[in-house]
Amino acid sequence: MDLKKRSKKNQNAQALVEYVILIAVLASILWLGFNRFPVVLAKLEAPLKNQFRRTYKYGDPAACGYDDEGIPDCGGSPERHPRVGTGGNNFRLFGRGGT
Amino acid sequence: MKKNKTKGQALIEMLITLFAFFTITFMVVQLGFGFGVINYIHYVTYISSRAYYAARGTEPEQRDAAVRVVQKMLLPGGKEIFKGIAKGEGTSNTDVTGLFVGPSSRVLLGNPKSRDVAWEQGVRFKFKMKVNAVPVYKSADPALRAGLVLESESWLGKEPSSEECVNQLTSSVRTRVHPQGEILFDNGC
Repeated sequence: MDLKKRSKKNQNAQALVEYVILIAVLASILWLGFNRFPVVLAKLEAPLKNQFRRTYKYGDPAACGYDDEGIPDCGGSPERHPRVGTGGNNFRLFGRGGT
Repeated sequence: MKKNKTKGQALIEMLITLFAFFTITFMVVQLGFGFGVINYIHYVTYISSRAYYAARGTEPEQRDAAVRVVQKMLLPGGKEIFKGIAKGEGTSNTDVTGLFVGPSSRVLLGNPKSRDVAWEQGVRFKFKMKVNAVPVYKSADPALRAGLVLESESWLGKEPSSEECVNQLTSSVRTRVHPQGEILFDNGC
């Protein structure tokens, strides 16, 4: 067998191996798209539904009001509000600290 | 022969790159539109509350002034100007969906005549903002898929209308006859 013929014989399964790798890569992309992506997207969108909504309404991402009963950290009364009259866990503007 | 096989590669790579590029670009554009509109809605709520604040003949007239501001700025000619981005949502006590004009929840849930809270009157506008963080991909959260519900509030208070002042003064005259009746405080009449 000459060198040229032997070289061609060695490449016989290359197409098959490449095909299997390609299928594996495509399957991984599809798995990421259908399983992991919604989880990541939900994590990205969660602050919009919670902190952003509260900031828009009350001026602070952790604030609660009368209409927020049932929402985590909220008891159905005003809490953590930035306002002049402090009291409870309400605070003056820029003074919330760690609460 | 081998060169022929790679002929469409550049085109496919370009399509994939363009798809990713436009997805991110339109995501930024969409969120930009959304944030711009909700900022505008906050301003509309505020000036509507200012209109409600100003004294008029009767309380319904004050309420009507507040509603007309919202109609002029969000529904000119009866058409929603931000239909594709934000839309009024939920119950209302006016002709505009999602618009509430009157006392705040604190007043309604507490004692509406209490001197400490009775001043808290104004405007609340509840609306739904279109949110798809990735434009071609629908959100996993059914609530967000339908839109993000936001509320803009402005409680500036309200000057009593002429009619309310007359009623109050008439009532205070009666109170002299019946000392156990209503206590009169300065509310701007």
